[in-house]
Amino acid sequence: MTMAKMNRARKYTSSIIEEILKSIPPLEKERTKYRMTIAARIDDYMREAGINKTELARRLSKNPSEITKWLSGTHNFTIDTLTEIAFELKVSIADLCMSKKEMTKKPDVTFIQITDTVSVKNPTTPWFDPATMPSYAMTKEPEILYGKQKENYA
Amino acid sequence: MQYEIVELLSFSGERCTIYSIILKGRSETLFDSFLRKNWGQYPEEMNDLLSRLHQIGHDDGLREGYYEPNEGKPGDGVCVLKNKPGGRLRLFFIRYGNDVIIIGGGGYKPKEVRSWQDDPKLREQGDLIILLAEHIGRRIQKKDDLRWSNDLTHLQGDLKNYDNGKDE
Repeated sequence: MTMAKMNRARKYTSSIIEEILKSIPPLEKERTKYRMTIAARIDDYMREAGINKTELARRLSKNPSEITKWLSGTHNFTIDTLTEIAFELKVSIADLCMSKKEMTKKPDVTFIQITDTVSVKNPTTPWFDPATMPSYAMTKEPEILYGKQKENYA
Repeated sequence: MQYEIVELLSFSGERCTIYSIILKGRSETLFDSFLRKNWGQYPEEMNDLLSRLHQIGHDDGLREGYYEPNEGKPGDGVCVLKNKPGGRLRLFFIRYGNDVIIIGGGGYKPKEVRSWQDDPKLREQGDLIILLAEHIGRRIQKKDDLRWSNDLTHLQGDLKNYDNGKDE
């Protein structure tokens, strides 16, 4: 019986690939990156919300082909469109622009317990650092905090 | 068919392993030939395609929205990568889930042509990748000389199916 070979493919590059990659203006790379990143995040948050293209199109009063275009990673989004999408998917525009790598840099939690009564959903927002945020900024019931804490601090 | 499957260093990354193919007797991959034939004429579209491949390999992997599926025979995984809106360049590849792709060749789809099958040059490239998809698929299915790594992200085995005493 002969042992099957288990070797992997040879790593390969060529002068033409390197030449083209070097010639791409950095700004153009960034554009492509963000278009694809936004498409990937919309795709992720749609899955998370359990909705498909048709349902998102219905909720945003768009044609499903529009959603297909968004998900192709080639679409040039306007702020208005991003706002509509983010609003419907209950995330921030910053969340839609964050790459997978940037997302994995954040603490590995979905819900952060701030007090025994308040939890804040923090999917991906980069500037959100609970350690540096005042606790009142995270409450859902400001009147309780302001009321009781005001008395404590008085 | 005799060929070598090589991993494209510049694109392959932690999110997607990206291969291309060198046919026996050639010195460059099908993808290199595609670049050589089209870069001079369509530099912007080509830049876009290469940036997209880099992003697929290193950041988000292959997403359903990024390509046109079912361009080959049923179940063979042959797809076409989308590029800039209005872009006419077509790049064929074989898709294995969202983690592994093998890029072939492609070309420019003239406006007057409805599908790539109607253009002789594109058809030649499309037919070649369909043949390769069938051949590679058969080898993987038989688990004879080509198989998946344990984490299903790499092909391993006889990546070069000639010069090894075998003749297919």
